[in-house]
Amino acid sequence: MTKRVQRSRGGAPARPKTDLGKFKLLLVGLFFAAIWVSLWGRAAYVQLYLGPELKKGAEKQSLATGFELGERGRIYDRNGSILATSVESKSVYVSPIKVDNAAQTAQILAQILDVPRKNVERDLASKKGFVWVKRQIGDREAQALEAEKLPGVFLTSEYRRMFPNHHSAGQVLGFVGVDGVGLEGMEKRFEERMAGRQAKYVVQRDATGRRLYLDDQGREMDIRGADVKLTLDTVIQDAAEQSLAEAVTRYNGRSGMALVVKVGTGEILALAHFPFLNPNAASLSKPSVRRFRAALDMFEPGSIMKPFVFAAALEQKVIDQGKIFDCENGKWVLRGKTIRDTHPYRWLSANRILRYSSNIGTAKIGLALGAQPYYSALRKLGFGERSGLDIPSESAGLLRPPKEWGEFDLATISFGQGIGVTGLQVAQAYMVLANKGVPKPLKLVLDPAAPPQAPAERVFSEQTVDTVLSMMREVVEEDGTGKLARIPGVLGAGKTGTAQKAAATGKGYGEGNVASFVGLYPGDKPEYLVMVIVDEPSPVAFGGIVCAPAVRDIAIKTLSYYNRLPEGKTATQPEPSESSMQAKATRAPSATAGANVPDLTGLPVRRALEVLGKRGIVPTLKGSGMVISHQKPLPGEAWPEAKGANKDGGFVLWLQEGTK
Amino acid sequence: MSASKGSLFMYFCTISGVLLLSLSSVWLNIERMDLAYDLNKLEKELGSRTALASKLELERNNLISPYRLKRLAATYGLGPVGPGQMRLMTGQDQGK
Repeated sequence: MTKRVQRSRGGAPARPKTDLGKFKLLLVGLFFAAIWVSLWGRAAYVQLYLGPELKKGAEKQSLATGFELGERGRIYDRNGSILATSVESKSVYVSPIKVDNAAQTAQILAQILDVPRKNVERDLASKKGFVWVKRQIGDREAQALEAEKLPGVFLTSEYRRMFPNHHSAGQVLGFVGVDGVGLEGMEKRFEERMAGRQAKYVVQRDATGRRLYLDDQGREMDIRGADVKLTLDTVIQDAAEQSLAEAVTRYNGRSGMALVVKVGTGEILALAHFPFLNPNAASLSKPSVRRFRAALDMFEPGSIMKPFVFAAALEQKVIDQGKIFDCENGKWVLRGKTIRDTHPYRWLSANRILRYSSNIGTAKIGLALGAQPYYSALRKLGFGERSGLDIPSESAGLLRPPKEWGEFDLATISFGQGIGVTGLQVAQAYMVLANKGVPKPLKLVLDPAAPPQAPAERVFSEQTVDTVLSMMREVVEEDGTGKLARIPGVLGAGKTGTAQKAAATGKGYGEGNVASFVGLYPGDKPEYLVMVIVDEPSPVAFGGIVCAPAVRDIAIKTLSYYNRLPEGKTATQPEPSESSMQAKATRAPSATAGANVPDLTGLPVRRALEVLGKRGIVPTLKGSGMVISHQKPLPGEAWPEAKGANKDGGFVLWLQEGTK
Repeated sequence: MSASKGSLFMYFCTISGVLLLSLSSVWLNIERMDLAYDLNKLEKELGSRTALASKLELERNNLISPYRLKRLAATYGLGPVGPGQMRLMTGQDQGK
């Protein structure tokens, strides 16, 4: 500044110069300000205007939505054994556009997965981005595939339903489809409860595509399906299946079912069907094999319905045990149609009509009872409606209203023809007899527990039930049609059934029969109900021959499993031959508590104790075995005083091993 | 003078704080990713072990299923108890 003044003072007056410095500075300032503003502008544009879109794009690259499907709930038996569970298994899919060498890939896949090479080649030629090759493969196959590291071939995890007991209770458990959805049986019934739920969550992907969980969003929820616990016991179930299979195959039956029920609770311990269904490979079986026959199939029950006519008639005081009926020598024409008995009888008391299973005698009792009271009893017993077990597609049976019954209909329905029932209905009805005349609903599921039900209305009085049970004991313990179901040392009660099947044409009856037997053990105070039904057995079709031995086997195994078989050594009773099954109209000698001491020799100890128990006598037992060899006092002598008889030296029974 | 020193100090502290927070944020993010990798690895291991446990449980149930045991028992000459063959030991006479 000083310099500039000096120059202007010394020479010619200086021409005023333009101050460019300021201008330059301003220019530079403006330049930088413009840059600064444009940067801020760009930043604002990117942040504020493009921001949401860019954020979305970035998240698309680094974040991904993941889904997780929960495991399907398990099915347990009453003791906690697994009946059905889901295990993780691998499924193979291909992305054809990512496959390098289609021919080589097809060859390797076909070899490892054991699938036709043509199918794999067709899959690889697909233009889709995702094609399943094989689902739910084994661990070894998955390992082998992983080792191959084939481009475009991927493994993904899925749950596979497994049934460790194979065919055990196959039809009851049902099965699931390849997508894990229940299609039959309990799997279908509890689909909603057992199905695994889906969780949705966000994961971060790194550059290699690995998924990283950054928080627990969506993963904190319980996605596993709930479990189901059945009343079945795998041991009893196996025993029932084995005996049923033997009965059906031995007598060339088409199919069969067996049921074991714990009378006290109504819990079904075993529910077997034959032919067996292996739910692990359900698709390989025929649809007829997959049927839950005990609930779905309706059949004419035949003579196993007779105890209900007797109970209803006793309840209505139409008959008593001793009332006799003319059984027409095995052939009776009613309204132009003929009713026949397997064996000819003439006059039989009511108890013997049941013991020898006379159709004519039962028809006459039914006619004496009348349609309305019988129909009413059948409805109260649960016929004509579903069992309440809530099984998918369960049949309600066929019970026509009584106004549609003619006289002949009433007669035939009395002995179980002209009525349609399911196996579960029969078992439910017998539970009324086993439970002292009060219905006890069947139970198949322990968890989830069934909602509480109102107390059931009594169907028959205790006295009526006691009388019917005593008649049913004669069927097994005397010379009745069910003596092959007799178990030494355990009183049995039961009823045989041999029903004709309707002809395929829909008119009249064909050649086929349904053989059945229902047993109650012990026969005086039933604890277990065992039922076996065989469809179209041949050449023998009698329920007492086809089914009674199976019931006996199942009952023995059940009683032994629950420690209810009597102790002691008793030689197994030889099974009566087929010819001995011819029911005779003569009464077998039986020990009863009359005026004098009866002959107890040869009786099972349990039965002898029963006879003496009625007199208030507890005898002294000597020796070992289950059969009475000698007794004191001798048969025919006067009864000793109960007090004295209870002391040692009073009533004495000597035991021996051997048969009755 | 002291006021300008004070403001300079405040400026320095702010810059240091921002730097420290930034570095912490970066370090935490790295740790978070490391943990995510570890977690991923552990979850995979847990998944495979759980799957194996279910398979072993299934196998165990298969091995103790009645039809398997029955077959095994038959090889040793064992079978179901028959009438008159049972002996109840003390304390075992209670029904199941």
